[in-house]
Amino acid sequence: MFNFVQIRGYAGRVQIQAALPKRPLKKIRVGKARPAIYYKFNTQVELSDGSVITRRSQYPKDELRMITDQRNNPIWNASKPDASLLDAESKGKMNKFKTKFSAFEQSGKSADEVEQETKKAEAERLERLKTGIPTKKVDTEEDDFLDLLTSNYEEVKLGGNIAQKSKKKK
Amino acid sequence: MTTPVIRSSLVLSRIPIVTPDVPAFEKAFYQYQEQLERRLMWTFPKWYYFKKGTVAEREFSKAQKYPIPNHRNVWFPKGVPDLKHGRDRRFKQDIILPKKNNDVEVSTTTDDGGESAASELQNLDDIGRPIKANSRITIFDEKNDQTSLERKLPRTLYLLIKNNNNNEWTFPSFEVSNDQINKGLHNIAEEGLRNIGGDKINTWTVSNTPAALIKHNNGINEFLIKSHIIAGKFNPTNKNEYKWLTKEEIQDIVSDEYYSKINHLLSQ
Amino acid sequence: MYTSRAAIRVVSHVKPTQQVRYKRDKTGLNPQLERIVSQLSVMSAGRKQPRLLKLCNEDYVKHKTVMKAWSHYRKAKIQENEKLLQKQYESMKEAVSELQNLSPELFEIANEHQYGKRFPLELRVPTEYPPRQIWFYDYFPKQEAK
Repeated sequence: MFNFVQIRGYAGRVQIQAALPKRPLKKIRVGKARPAIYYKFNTQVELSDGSVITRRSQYPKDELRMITDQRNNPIWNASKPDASLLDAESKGKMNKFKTKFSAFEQSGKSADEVEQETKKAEAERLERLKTGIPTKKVDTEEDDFLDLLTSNYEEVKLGGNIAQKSKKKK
Repeated sequence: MTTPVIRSSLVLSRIPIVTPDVPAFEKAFYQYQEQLERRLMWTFPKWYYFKKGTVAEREFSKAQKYPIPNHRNVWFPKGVPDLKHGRDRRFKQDIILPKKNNDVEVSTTTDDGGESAASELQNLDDIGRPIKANSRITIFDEKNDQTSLERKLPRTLYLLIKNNNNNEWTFPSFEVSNDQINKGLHNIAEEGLRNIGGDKINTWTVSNTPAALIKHNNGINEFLIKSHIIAGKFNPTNKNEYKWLTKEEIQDIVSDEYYSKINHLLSQ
Repeated sequence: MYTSRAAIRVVSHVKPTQQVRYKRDKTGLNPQLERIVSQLSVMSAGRKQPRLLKLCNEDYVKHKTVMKAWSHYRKAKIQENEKLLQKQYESMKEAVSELQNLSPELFEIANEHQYGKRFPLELRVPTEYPPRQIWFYDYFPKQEAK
């Protein structure tokens, strides 16, 4: 099955028509070669800790923001337990939600309780600084509304005992 | 025969946080080179970065200033334009990137009289906020607070402390007693620093080999060990005076003899 | 040489039995080929190259002067740097040889190879503008966790 088209040239050589139109090659004479200098923008790059560097880039953007980089990665910041990737992640939707409804979090609490909480947060930070290990949250201290979703729920079993039956057969 | 007195000193430095200030000559040369390169740069391939018929392409095209094409009946005082891909090949190409909407918002708020600290904090959550670079000159520079680590950001700072005996400024220096000899010079210097300045300091000693030797007239041999501060601060326990200084400031404060010995160790 | 398989792919006017729907463009190329063309066009000079820079005599002399001044400046800077390095090396050598005379024990320790010593990850390359928090003061030496 050879159904490709052959066009025979004058010299009898087989020429195959390419899909890309052929461009006549320009001869570059000696001493006339010029380097390829692509268009570059001076892009300002803000690193995660707020420091700014200027980078030359071909991409048409004059400002760039790094969300996670060496400056908030715990591996590169062994003596700074405060700088963590979690901070960067918290800048997303969840944090937006929290800032929006933070007023309700403090509602129904007395001034003493609020003060205690801030004190506790400070103590936790100090502990974190000293040990370099982030403090784990205890489940009981915060009433998480996510629990409500799972409290009264039984998993629906589909398909009956087919798997067991097949095992019994063997 | 008495054994010679050996002291171990620590040249503790804070490395520069921002890039060095560029001298006027270098700045002028870099600008000249930049202009030459801009002139020789190829035309920006708009068709590659912006798909035809998209909003981004339209906004980009709208922001550009296109040169006037050649025409038969028009006389051009600066020569006939040679347009290819909307760029005059005789000159450099200026690409204007379209401004984002939130840039305008910020400018209006600053016109009102600056943003409050609270709104700025909230602003940090917004990933699309315009970049606002912090100043290279800090408040400690303005106050000329020489005990601060946050001053003279483009320069290397060195820790100097005042000797209570003769009121001379020197690098922190510690005597090497016979029972300490098995620790080595670098460990003695590091431990000494923590004895006088608290242990809440993170340093990195460059090498266990001394970088220089100062022979004092009274028979004291002072070996200098180089080290860098990484985090924490020097907080003297016995109310010693201390300063973080650049090379020039060290020259003003120490004796000429001392400076001639340490001159080559300090970075410009 | 082309293989027959490649030839089948590139031949344009042989109609395939199976119809593939492409949006026809003015250039007559299908989208994949068009993408390749546009990608190649970024790298090739084509019509993107500006005209050669032709300086008049005066400008050329000026350019030469600037470059000469720069090379002198660079040379002086490099020489100064090398001199400084030489001085630092000399002072190190002097200190160590003197230490050998004064205390052979300290000399031994000063010349021990420090295995596993690494450059600290936390020392940073200077940036153009400083970070929000310039210095981290609340450092605590590492303890065992409770």
